[in-house]
Amino acid sequence: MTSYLTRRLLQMVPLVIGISIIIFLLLAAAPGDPVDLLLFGNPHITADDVVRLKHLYGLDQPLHIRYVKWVWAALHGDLGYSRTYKVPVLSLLWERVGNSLWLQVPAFLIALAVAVPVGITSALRQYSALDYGATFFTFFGLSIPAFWFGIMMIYIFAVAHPWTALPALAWLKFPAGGFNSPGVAAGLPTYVDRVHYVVLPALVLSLLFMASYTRYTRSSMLEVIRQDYIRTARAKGISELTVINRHALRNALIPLVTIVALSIPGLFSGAPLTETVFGWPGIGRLLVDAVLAGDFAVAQGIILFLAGLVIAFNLLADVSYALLDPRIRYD
Amino acid sequence: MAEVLLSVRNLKTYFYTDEGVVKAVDGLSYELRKGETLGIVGESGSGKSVHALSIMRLIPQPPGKIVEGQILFNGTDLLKLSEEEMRRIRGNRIAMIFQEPMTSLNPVLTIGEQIAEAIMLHQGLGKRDAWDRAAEMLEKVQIPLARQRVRDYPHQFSGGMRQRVMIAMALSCNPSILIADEPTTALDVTIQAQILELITELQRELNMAMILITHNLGVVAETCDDVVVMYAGRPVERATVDATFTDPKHPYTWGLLHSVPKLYERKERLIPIEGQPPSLIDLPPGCSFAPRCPFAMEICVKADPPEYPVGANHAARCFLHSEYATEDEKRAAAAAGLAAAAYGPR
Amino acid sequence: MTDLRQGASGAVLAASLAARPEVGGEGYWQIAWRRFKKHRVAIVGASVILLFMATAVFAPFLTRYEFDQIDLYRRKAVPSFSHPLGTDELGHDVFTRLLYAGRISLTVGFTAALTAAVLGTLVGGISGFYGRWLDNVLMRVTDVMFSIPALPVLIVLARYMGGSVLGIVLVLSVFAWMGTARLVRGDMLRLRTQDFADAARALGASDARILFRHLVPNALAPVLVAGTLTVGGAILSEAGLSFLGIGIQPPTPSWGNMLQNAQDFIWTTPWLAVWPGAMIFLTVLSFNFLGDGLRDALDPRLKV
Repeated sequence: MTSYLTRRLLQMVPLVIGISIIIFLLLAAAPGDPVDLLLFGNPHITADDVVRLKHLYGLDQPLHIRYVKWVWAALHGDLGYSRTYKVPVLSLLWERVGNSLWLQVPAFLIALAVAVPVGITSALRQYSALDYGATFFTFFGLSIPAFWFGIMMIYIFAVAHPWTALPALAWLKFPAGGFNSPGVAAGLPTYVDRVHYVVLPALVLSLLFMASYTRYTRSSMLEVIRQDYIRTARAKGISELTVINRHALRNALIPLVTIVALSIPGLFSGAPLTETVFGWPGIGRLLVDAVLAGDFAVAQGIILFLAGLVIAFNLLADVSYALLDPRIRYD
Repeated sequence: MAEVLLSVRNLKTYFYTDEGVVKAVDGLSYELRKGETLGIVGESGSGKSVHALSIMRLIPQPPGKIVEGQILFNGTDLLKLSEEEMRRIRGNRIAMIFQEPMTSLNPVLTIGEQIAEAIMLHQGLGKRDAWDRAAEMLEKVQIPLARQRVRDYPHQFSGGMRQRVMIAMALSCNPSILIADEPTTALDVTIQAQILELITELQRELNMAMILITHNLGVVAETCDDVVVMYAGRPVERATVDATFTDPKHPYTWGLLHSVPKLYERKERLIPIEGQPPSLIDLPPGCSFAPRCPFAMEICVKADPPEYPVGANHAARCFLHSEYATEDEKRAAAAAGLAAAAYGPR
Repeated sequence: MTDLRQGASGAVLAASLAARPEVGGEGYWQIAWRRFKKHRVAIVGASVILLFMATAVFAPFLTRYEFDQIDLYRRKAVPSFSHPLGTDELGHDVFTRLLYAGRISLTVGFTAALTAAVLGTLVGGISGFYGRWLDNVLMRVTDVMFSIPALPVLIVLARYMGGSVLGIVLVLSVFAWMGTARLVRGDMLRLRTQDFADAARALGASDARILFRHLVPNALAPVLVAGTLTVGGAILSEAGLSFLGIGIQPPTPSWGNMLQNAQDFIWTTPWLAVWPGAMIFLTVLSFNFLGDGLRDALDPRLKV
């Protein structure tokens, strides 16, 4: 297992370097560097000032030197300064990541809670009505634009709620967007109130993941129940329930855990659309606002953070794979 | 003669696929007596393995279905049992070992867990006793350091060792019938003999009956009492092992005998059976072997041959042994049979 | 002269060796077509795509309005005989804009997928064919591109492109070739050891010729499947970017930017939000169905 993980870690090195170069170039390629932008807003700056400022920011140095400096700064927690928010990018990021988690964690749990049982049942009853339904649902989830689905949900549950006449369903009404009701007391009441706001966006965000987890669970399970060792288990005379729970599920979950771990950063990367539709103050919305305002330092910081998540969950996937599969655990 | 333990009567197992109905087993009958070894011989696709899974009632359904026949085990028809009742027989009274030891064991469970599972279920032993018995079984199949190795995972064993584990698992509940489906095919030649010897030794010790499914006539000659030769889902010849090798009656059996590679002999003597086994969908009328049969007569492509008795406990599904064959044809057939017998592994 | 003839017959021989094995007199593509016809949802998907392509191409004949024609006296009009889907906040005819937006969305989808397919085939082909360090480098690059959080980077790059259609196509294809590259590489590794590659090499064919005349055509099936799915993905991404205001810029209509303002009017004119989204959904769904059918027909091994 140690050798496996060491190998995976070593393979990660070129990945980290490659990703960091691309993210660095992304900002370096931005139209107008910070000084140009400063110039734009201030007519009093002279040509001498420009040279001095460019030197001060290190913009007159060759690209590779700037890259090394940038990496060095990033490793020390310096992700630059936001021009529009007038705060360091890192502090802005921390503030918003928490908000995003309020959305991502429920979305993730909803997706998993629906997808795994549905995927398993779908595989066990292949070609049944339920299987066809689940397969159609995965196509639906993978094809529907999240932002449109979000708007439709807002229309149904916040605007129209056609069941208003039914008192029993009166609770089925959710805010059209936002993060908290105005004037809610700080602390616990804020959180309780927020649950109301989380429902719709979490549902919308979870749909894509629900669909892809369902598909993976189903195909993983189908793959496993075709295996010879499942036939062996049945030949022992154990009950179908034991065959599934003890023999099939454990094997099917190994690739599933990996895929799920690898998909988690996608919950954040895909959030800009959902967060925009619902006016959710997370990092996705921050990214869109920053890009629209031309504040690319913030965008770069967010992308760097997301890339860090990708690397971290890559490692987590490897570790969990190594722990779950005895073929690697005892190598 | 010992009492009949298992009687298969006119078994038909079909698979309903998009391309058509595959008649994998189409009218198989035989009897298996206590302590006896029955060899089922045929090419791949002849229905040998499907018949075995039919006895265990492990045919995936859909697309498969046992459409007709009886499988009488101690007089009860297995096909009429509930799933619950069938489970008490599987792995307990009738056990099975498979062709692929590399993939037949669950990679995420230890050997001990996998053997003890059946023991706990069928013998009602507690966990500790079941594990003891699992270790005992591993000793019985001659796995070194059995007591420690129960805690190992399948990938820590070689192919031959895994097949020993499979045997230990199958025999752990003292079944009265062992179905061995090509148990040595996937193994190295040197290991094949060891595994076969181990199986027959344990069979004697436990006084089990065995159905040995193989395409290897050499294996049959060494281990079996009776032989059923299958072709395209049907039994084409049924005989004692002696009769099969000294007085074979079906042209397909002759072909099989001609294609047995023998040690110490020059390879050029091998004569393969010409042509391919037929597709089991839309079988044409007539004998399914006729297109490949050097002795095919006019009748063979028109009608399906019934089983003709050709000796004591010996039957062949071939018109050469009927009134349709001329004396010349019968003589030629007899000569071919003798030639094939001279060729065989005995 | 002799040399020339040998070369020609050599190419014929190599080509015949490269051909897919024929089964029962039926060619590979015939079998695939027979399987494809049985895939009902794929047929539905293909029909919807053809229909939408036709309406996009013939848009000027299907409506009396121009896509940028504003009627300030008829803003946010409810659906009526003259405006079957109503008008938006500027008095554009929604039906007209939907048709013209289809042109943009389908064009972006197809060109991005085509570019990505070419790029992926090139990278995968070269990587699998030459192997060694080149394969290593190209596959690490592929890994890196796979690991980059695509949507956020697309948002930034699309902004740099300033909403030009060509720019959007470019950035979308840069982030869509990796899957194809991996598939093609896998096929190359399998194919290059096969006899017909050796036969062609023995006959003196150049590397490029072996690669693009003999090997790549044999790997086309997965490229076609991945390409079809990429069209849907690209349309979805374009719509997302345009919805955020970073993709296709008004007055050029795109299904994504038609939705951008629709949300603001959800309380008053909810139907404005229905149609553009439904068009995106139906189009992407159709491409996914089609891709699934093609995969089943061309290469059942690829089934996820």
